[in-house]
Amino acid sequence: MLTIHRWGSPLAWLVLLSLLTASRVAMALDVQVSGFGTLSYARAFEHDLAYLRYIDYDGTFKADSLFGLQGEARFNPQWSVTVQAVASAPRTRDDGYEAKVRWAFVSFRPDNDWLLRGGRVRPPVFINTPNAEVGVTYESARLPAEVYSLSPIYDVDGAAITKTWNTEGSEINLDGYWGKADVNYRAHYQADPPARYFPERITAKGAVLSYSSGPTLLRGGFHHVELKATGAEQFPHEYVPIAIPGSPPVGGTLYVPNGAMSETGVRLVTLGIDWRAEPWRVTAEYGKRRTPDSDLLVNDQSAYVTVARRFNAWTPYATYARMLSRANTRNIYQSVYDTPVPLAVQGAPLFLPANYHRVAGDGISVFDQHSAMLGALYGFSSTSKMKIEWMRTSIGITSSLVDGEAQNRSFNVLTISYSMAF
Amino acid sequence: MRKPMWHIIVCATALGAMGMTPAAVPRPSVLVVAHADTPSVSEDTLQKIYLGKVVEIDGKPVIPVNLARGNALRKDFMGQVLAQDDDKYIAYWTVRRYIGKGSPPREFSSVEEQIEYIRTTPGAVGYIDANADVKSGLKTLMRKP
Repeated sequence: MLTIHRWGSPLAWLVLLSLLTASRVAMALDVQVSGFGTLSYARAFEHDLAYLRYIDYDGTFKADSLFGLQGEARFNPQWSVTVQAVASAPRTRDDGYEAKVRWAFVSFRPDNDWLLRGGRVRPPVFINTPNAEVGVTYESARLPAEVYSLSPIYDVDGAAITKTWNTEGSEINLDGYWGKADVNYRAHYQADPPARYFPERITAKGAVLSYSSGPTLLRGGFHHVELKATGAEQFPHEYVPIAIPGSPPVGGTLYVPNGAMSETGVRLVTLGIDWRAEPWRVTAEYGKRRTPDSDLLVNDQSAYVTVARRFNAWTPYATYARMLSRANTRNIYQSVYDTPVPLAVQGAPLFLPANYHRVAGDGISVFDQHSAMLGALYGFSSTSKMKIEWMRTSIGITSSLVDGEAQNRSFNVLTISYSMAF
Repeated sequence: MRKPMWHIIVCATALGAMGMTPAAVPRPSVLVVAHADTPSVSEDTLQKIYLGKVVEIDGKPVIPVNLARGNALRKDFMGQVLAQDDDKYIAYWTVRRYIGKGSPPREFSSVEEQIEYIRTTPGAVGYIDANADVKSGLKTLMRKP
């Protein structure tokens, strides 16, 4: 099933109209159409689980395969319009495919040092976030989910501004952005599948400071996202333990939700370094998310390091990535998930199901996993690359990136992909 | 008249078989040209223009143009003026395009088209073979080597 999503922003329509108009007078404009795509097969060598929604024992093409088209119309050196659409697995459900407008923005570059964009833009959260879907622009077969899942690719309707300072041999960039987007947060309940999507409206704003000199890029960013539940479900605030009279298994502890919130905020701090000295490239990034309102939501730290070395057309690489929720969140999860539901509340008048605590635990955003990847890229050219990667992921107490019983499990994933751009 | 030609071919084949190459043939000169109104630029600034980092000089827009990929003159320009190979240049613009910070210089399939564009577009910058007899109406910015 292929769904063409309705554009939410009138500005996006305006941008498309501008591009179409531009193409009619292309003789006077610089109109460029480009594209990119990835065909990727991934298989997990483990039964009864799925990683990143689709990667399971049966293998899948859906996890990373996509095709994108981008059109740019440059009216003059200052003004241009860019529209990008991508067909891929959907972000709002697990089945089928969708084609969606990712970018649609007007650019204004009044001089060498300023760039302003308005429309649908992508926040530059991590080094490869803006180009995450363009496989030829990085070595890895898949960007480490431990870090790149901290900020899923949410394109926001708003504005972005870039200020550049050029000094002798170095460059400093300050990127700022603000925007809104309607998204769907996915939660997979191992005890109550299938996965459910909860509609949210996000308002994101942030700033990223980058410094590049010679082979080294350093960057750091601060981002704040306000989340507003737009569906029936609200954000959990806390679970309160209630003592049920009687000896186990009749009595015991029952965890009940307390203080649901319709809105909350998430802070994200990012740091990164990218060092390129031919034939070597070392990239490392770190991210820390904090939801001050609740320990049940995202409160974690993530990092990865990738070392790659080019041998002519071949570039082998190794990556290690780690993602860990803060101790308080992990402890709450473990307490809720591992506590048997007292028999006294499984009957009248509450009639709670025996897996009530497990479902409640699945609702907590908790991550405890690390991955090691060994892979290689073969470049036919700078715009045509084949990649192969072997990844071993180990889960601690659990991980919301895995569907299925994940506790204390390890699994291997093989990925073979071909990426191109034109 | 045939003997010298055969002599060259035999020598080249023999050198090739030995893993050697004849002395490098001098590379053709590349002339960087621009619209008559375009300000003069340094080599460093020219590199930044082709990397999309400089779009105006003293308030006047500059518009770099390129020949199509695979063009021999383009390869010479890349090597002699921008000091990088074409593949890396394409890779650079592939990233820059898909982080939403611009698109590569407009490409022309022939030198004639490029020259016509430069002549008629204020701020346009391009390049030609230094031996080509098409310089009238163009401003010479630099010659390489």
